[in-house]
Amino acid sequence: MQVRANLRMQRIVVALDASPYSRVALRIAAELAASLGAKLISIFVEDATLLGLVDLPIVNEIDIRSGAVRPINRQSLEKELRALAREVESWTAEIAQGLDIPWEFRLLRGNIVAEIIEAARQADLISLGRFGWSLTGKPRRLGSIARSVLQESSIPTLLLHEEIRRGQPIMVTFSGDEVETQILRMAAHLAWLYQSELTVILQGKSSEQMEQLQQAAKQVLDEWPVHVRFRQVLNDDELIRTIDKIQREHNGVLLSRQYHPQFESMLCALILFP
Amino acid sequence: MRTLKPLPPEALCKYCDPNLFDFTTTDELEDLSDVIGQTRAVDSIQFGIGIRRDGYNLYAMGLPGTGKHSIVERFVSQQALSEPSPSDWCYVHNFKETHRPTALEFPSGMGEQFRQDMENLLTDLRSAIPSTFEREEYRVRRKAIEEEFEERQNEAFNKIQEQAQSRGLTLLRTPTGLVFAPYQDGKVLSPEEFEQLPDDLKQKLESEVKQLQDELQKILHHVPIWERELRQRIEELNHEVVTFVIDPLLKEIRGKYETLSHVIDYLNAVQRDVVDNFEDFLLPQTGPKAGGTLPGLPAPAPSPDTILRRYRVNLLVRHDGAQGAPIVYEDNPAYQNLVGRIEYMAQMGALTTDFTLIKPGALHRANGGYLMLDAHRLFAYPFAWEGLKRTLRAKQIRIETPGQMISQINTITLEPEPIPLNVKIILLGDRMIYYLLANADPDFEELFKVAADFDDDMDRDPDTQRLYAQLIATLARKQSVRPLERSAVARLIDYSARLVGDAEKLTARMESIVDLMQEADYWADRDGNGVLLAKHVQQAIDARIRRSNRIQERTQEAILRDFIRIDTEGEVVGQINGLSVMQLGNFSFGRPSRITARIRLGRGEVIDIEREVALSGAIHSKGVLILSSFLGARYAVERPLSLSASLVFEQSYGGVDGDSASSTELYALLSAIAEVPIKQSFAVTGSVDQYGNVQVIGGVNEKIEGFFDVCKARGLTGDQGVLIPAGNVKNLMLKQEVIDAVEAGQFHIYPVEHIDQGIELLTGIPAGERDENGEYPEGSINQRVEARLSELAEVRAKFGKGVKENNESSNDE
Repeated sequence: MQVRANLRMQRIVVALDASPYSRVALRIAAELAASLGAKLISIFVEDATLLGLVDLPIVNEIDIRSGAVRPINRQSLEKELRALAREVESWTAEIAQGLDIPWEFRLLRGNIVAEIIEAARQADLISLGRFGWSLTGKPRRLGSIARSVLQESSIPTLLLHEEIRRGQPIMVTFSGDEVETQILRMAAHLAWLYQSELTVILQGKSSEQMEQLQQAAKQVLDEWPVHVRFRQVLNDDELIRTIDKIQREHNGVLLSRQYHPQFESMLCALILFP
Repeated sequence: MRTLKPLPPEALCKYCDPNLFDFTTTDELEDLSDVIGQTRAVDSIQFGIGIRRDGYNLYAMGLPGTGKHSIVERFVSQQALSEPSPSDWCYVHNFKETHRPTALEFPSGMGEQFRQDMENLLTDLRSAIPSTFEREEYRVRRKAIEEEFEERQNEAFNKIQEQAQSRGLTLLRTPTGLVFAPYQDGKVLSPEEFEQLPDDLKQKLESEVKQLQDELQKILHHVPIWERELRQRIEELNHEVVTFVIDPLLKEIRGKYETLSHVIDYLNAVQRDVVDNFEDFLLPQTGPKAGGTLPGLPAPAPSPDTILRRYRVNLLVRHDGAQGAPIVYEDNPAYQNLVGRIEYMAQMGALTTDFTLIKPGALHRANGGYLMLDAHRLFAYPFAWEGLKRTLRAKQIRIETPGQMISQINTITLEPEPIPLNVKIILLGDRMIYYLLANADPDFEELFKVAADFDDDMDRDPDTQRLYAQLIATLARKQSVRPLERSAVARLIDYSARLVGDAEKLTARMESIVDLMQEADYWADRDGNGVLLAKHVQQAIDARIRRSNRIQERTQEAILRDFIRIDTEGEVVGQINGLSVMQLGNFSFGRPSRITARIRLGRGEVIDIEREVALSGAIHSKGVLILSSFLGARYAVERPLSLSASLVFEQSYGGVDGDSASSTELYALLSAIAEVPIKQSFAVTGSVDQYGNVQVIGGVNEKIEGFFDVCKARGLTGDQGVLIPAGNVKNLMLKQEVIDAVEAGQFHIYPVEHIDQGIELLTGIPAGERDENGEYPEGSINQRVEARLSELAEVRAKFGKGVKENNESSNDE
């Protein structure tokens, strides 16, 4: 298929921590893998820091529901982590078999961020829940793990906290270079996959430049049977306002090269290309 | 004693004279507007439907085909027109007790409007509620509430995290809980690093951890309270939003029904329920795919259509545009067709139901008016009569399944709120059921206080015959039968009289007249005749007989071939021709039977052989006992009746009943005793009393014709004839053939009043009357009988004495 030809992906890594957000990350990663013919690799990292705590004499565990205080103990902690790993493995198996795609599960141990970066080294895309386990309720900021991964990784990163539903708007920023063209292709693919409208936000310094950008984008998008709208912005502030305006109607997916902290609370999914 | 004269031909049939009528065909006659010949029944009906009191229900009884249904319906519809159209009734969901649907009453014709209103409300809510929840205002308000609570929680956790960090600690998450760990330079301390810390710092950290743990516990204890508050706040918001949607919609409906307080109560309940359960309106409109579930898997969630059924209206009884009170005839009065039923739906192998599946019965439809039921059919269904009585007594219709009463059916079921009942029941049926009920069912008299007794026949005189002709004309038009010529009408009237077996009566069972008319119409049609003539009626009668007289023909054939031995000439002692009637379906015919009597010395018993072998009924036995009593009382008052006689119906293998042969048997017995032969050219019918008077019997026409047919087939000799009770002369409606033969002097019919008249005719010897000395004239029948009996008594006395002497001498020895 033509769509795949320009957007080849072999491996998509999804890092899981048994939170509802990571389940969403898994599902979307699997759907992308299915549509791009990629292999799905899901990883679970047993946190070495946590395991190190058991030998600290002053550390006690406070139960999140009851508030009961109990000494932390290696055996039970390991057992709990194994149980989580088994759970995410079974999610992966279920979703991957449902979509009939090749998959693999890797159980790792060590520093979470380092292990994820390492695992992502051979991948074309990494998918993460935007937040990890929060203390309680729905957090509003990017999780610390996600933030670290984003800072240190060099491959496209998909951050999610909700499912992408059919028809949700897909937005992409475009300023013309090769990387951005690839991002545009990815956006078009998502729009095609979720039968959504694609909004291309052109960021340029003059109207002539924007006209050129639009022509270039149109050429790229010619290959995809999707409905496209163009928006033009001159600077980052305008960019944020435009995205915010679209978001008021329906929260959607943004594909961008740059990260702005304002994105965090608005979007259901964010794909960043560092 | 005067000699008996045969009846003149004109006495044998009272034909209706076509000249009585002044019309040519029935087309000239107007429809009959009155009921004829049923004044008693009509008065009862008018009384029964006029009186408005409890228990004054009507039982219209009479033979089938007497027009009960049409007459009752006619009077009821007149009455119903002047009465108001009753209420409409709906069943709606009971929000408090879901298994007891609520009944709502509406003025006539308003039920449908209410159903529509609720349907529209549902449609409106199904679009308005989801769109309200999708609207930006709602989303913003909800988000604001949620964020407020998130903020509160995050603040608390952030605060404790900050506190921890300021003291060289950090808060971490484990799979099931939270921990405070020592933290330096953005890293958790390893056990070795911690070990190297100075002891006082370690102690300080330990106490800090304890303190922070206490703080954290407090926060964690607060979390459920916050969550509950959040839920409450969102719930309040939702209620406010839904109330805002439903209020204006319901206000409009409330306005229409403000005078009906129970409807307003219901609408209030609907509002509360919608507000409490608004989520049901947010479900996707399409239900789960049918048939996709496998056994063992959980049932699919019910579709929104199923869930929202509870706001629908089951319009049970509606009277849109109806005038007057309803009249319902339920021709299938099964229990559930009367009181209504609750239907079930199969869902995942289980049966479920709700108020929308309540179906009305005839009582619902007739409520406020009249319900006509066929008694015979009513009793053919189990529980129908009990159910009807219970409903009438309770004056309310309560829908229950008979299955609930007799067994445990494991299905969800309902107890719909009973609906008040005000109905007049009219049962149509035969008399037997009426009298059985009156005897056996104590409730019956209480609930059916009016009986309308339909006559089987009516008097026949020129006036009623003219009305009858008009009735025939009316029925002919109703049945699309071609017009009848007046001779055909006359012939129908003759047939009507023959049906009741009485020259002075006409049948009231118009159904059989209509049947004959339709059959005659068929023959007229075959004839290509536009008018129905007398010959067509005759043809129909003949064809009708022909269709059902196979047995009659076979019987006659058996007689003519001497398989069944019947003499029609000559004289024999102790042998006589009796007459019986056979009834086969609705066809009856007469046949002669040979009756013989033999006597010998005995103790006065008359043995009825039929009775000995249980081939006779009680009435027959009674007749035989009467005649033996007559014998003893008349001829052997002062002596013992010293004969033993036996009577038998020869070649009867089926059994006989009735006393119409008792005079015949008496003649045979007298002949046997007097040793005087009886002329076999006669056949006899009639019952006898203890004084020898001959009394009326039934089926006289068939009996005469039965013997006539045999004689005619053998050739009429001119001596042959039938002896009938004089009382039966009025019943004579004989066929033309017989009348012709009588006219020609070839056949005779004698009206007999007393045994003496009959025996004279049968033997040709005077019966004889006692003279002043109490003696019968020498040679008369009675003298011979008396002499024979006294002879037998003497023999018996002598014989008895001899026996006694013998006994005494033997004792001496």
